Amino acid sequence: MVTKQPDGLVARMRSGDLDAFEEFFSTYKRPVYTTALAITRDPFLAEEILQDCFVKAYHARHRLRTDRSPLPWLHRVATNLCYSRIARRRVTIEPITSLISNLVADLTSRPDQVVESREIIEVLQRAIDALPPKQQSAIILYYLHGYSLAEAAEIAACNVGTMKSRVHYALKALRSRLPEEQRAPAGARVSISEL
Amino acid sequence: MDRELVENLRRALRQRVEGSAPSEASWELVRRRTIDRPERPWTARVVRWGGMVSAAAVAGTMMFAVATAPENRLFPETQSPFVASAARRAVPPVDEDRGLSPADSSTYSAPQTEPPLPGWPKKTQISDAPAAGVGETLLSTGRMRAARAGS
Repeated sequence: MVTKQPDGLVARMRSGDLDAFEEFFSTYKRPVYTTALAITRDPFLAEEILQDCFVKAYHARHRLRTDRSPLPWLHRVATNLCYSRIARRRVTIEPITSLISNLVADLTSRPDQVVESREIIEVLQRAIDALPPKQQSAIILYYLHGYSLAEAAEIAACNVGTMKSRVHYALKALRSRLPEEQRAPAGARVSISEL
Repeated sequence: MDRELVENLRRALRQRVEGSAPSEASWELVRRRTIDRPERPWTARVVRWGGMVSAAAVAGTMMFAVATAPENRLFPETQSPFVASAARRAVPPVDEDRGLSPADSSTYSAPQTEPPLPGWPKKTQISDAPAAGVGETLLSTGRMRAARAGS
């Protein structure tokens, strides 16, 4: 998934084909934006990061490899931009879209289920925010984008074992944040590869 | 790891991104910042970097010169002899537990290497011990004279 590239897109960009850059943007904007939004939880900031990321890609087009997808590189740039922006402003504002979606969910489910499920999700959201950047990006690549461990490792520029370890410790940290009654008993646990 | 946690984690992650997409204007903004803006030639970049490097070098040299220059060479016209002599004057060390010894307290010579102005005394001596003979006072007031006459 990560290693494929539309035919000669980067090569066409290098040769000065202006349409190629637009195609490049259309092809990769969605995953880059999703990564930025999942990390920052702010659509406006994610939009800025998306733009900065593609501006960087344009200026670095002569250094991009033509034989493989630029997506790992784009993900890495986006992730670094996210964490540098987050470090600059430590305040996380819940976007209005998530508030609205929570309200809509409240109207369609049973109140007791909604309260419990919302509580768990809220706890998890805060726990995800509190994860170290490497573990946070690992679970976003693995569980949100659905990349394999090998693909996620390629994007994060580490080996598969390291990526597996990051996902494992991220889950362990998330689990420790949940209330006691929400944690599964030890027998109910399965390995990462089964999930 | 439990499946329920992973399911909830997936839901939480999806909730973070659902309903949002890059705006239609984002391509226009990227295009303005890339294709529409001509890249500066490498010579312009070299000139810019060269200017920055030379400015930093000049600033560094000036700071080094200020930091290492002797005091009296920095601002010769503002160097006052009073300031120089005051700066050179040393205060005798005092042991707080012991206090001043009689030798220390009786006579203290302010170190002075050169007279600050023409006509000034070469050496200042501060003394609270009788300078001439015993009982002889160098300074006397009217009241002291009257007291001496009465005795």
